[in-house]
Amino acid sequence: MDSTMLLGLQTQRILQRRLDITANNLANVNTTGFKADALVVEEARTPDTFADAAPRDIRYARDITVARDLTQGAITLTGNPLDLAMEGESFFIVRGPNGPVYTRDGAFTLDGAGQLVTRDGRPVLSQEGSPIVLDPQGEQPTIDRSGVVRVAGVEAGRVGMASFQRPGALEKIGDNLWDAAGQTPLAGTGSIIQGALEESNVTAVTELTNLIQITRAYESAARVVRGADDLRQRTIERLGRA
Amino acid sequence: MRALSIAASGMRAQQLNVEVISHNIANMNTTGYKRQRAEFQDMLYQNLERPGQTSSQSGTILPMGVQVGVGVRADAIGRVTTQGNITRSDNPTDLAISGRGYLQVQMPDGNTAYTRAGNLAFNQDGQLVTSDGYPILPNITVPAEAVEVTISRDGVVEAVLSGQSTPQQIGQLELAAFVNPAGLEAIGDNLYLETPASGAANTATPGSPGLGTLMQGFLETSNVDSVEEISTLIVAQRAYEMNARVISATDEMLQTASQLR
Repeated sequence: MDSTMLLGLQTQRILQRRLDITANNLANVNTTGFKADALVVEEARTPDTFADAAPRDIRYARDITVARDLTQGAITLTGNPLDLAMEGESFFIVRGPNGPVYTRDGAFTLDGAGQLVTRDGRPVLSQEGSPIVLDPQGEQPTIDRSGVVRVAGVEAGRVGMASFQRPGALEKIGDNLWDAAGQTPLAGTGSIIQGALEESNVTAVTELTNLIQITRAYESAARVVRGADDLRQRTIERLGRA
Repeated sequence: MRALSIAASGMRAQQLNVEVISHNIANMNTTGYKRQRAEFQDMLYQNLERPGQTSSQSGTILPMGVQVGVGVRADAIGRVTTQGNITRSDNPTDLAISGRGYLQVQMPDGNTAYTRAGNLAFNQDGQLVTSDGYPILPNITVPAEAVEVTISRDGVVEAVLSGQSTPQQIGQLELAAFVNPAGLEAIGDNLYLETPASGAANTATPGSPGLGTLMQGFLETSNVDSVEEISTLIVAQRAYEMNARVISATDEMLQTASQLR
């Protein structure tokens, strides 16, 4: 195959990945604490074509990484005292199967033993890594902006916050959780709002525009492939006749 | 293409969201109903390029890989257990709970169920029962000759018998509290059952520390806020539409691909 056709096919392959990512963003437009992804594409330098006497410079597009849009999602009030919204670049600390994992989804609840847990039952940890246990008989807890939990005015623990030097390099592991991916967490600097949740930061307009752009770009890439194919067909016909 | 199934997961999630919202709106006028909320999580991510690969001939290394998520799933339908409004009904057997706690109900199978719906009544034997006829625990039976029954804020039931002027205590109501009331299992008919997630019931007289008080002649309305439900409904409907757009865009791209030749 000649490189025109390969260029077109590579472009289509990348567009399919961009579509997958856009689809995932739109599927999570209502997911608490979700952060949108975007595919980063660069031109990849490849060796010059050698079939030609005067080699041309061919550059393929290549997807190198996924960039995360870490902007703050909108904060909506829910009135539920155990819903926490994180303002700023920090994450809540949650006990995962192998050490702490991180989340921006602060829709917490209590388990039967009075422990503060995420909705799938993972304990929420303090800065020191210990779970937060509330008195089952006690009154509704209040949680201030620095994460200090008070029950009837008595301090009962503190919700931990972690921030990262390169938050964009964290790995998403599903269930609204993020893995540190080798980074050491620093003490968080965010502030916590009780009775509120952070919405997904997916902006529907941007994603829908991307969607149109992807579809159209895919069509034009297909046209490149078809053009290259037509050209080759004509060449074969002409050469056949000679 | 993954996009098809991702968008389908999005549509499924929004459909569930609309179902939860419609259940809330349908129960706007149900005494003691607590609104529900669908919660979503992103599904797992596929690593298409692992972080740490060499990215160029000069040996630079990718700081991050290409991770593609595979959609969304509903992980819980939570119950928002905030207090509903308390409205006056003037019916002497109507009880509103102001604060935490549930009334205990004796089920026909011997289990104890819990309820916030205080629209109670006396049955033919003078026993205090729910609107479905299940007895309230602890049992309260009013003598046939009672003229007036009063229930105090801390649950003391007193009756004035005919021909007497001083009321007599005939029982004491109790409330049950849970560590995590959102973990109770709803079984319909405004009733809930204890689960491992809710924790064990702690029963005590109304007004004890951490428990609410009773208000005779009042009812607790549902805590559904119609404006909030309608605005969530709009968001859910639009999100559903957007996911449908992704499906048609994917379809268009597949069509383009199939027409390549």
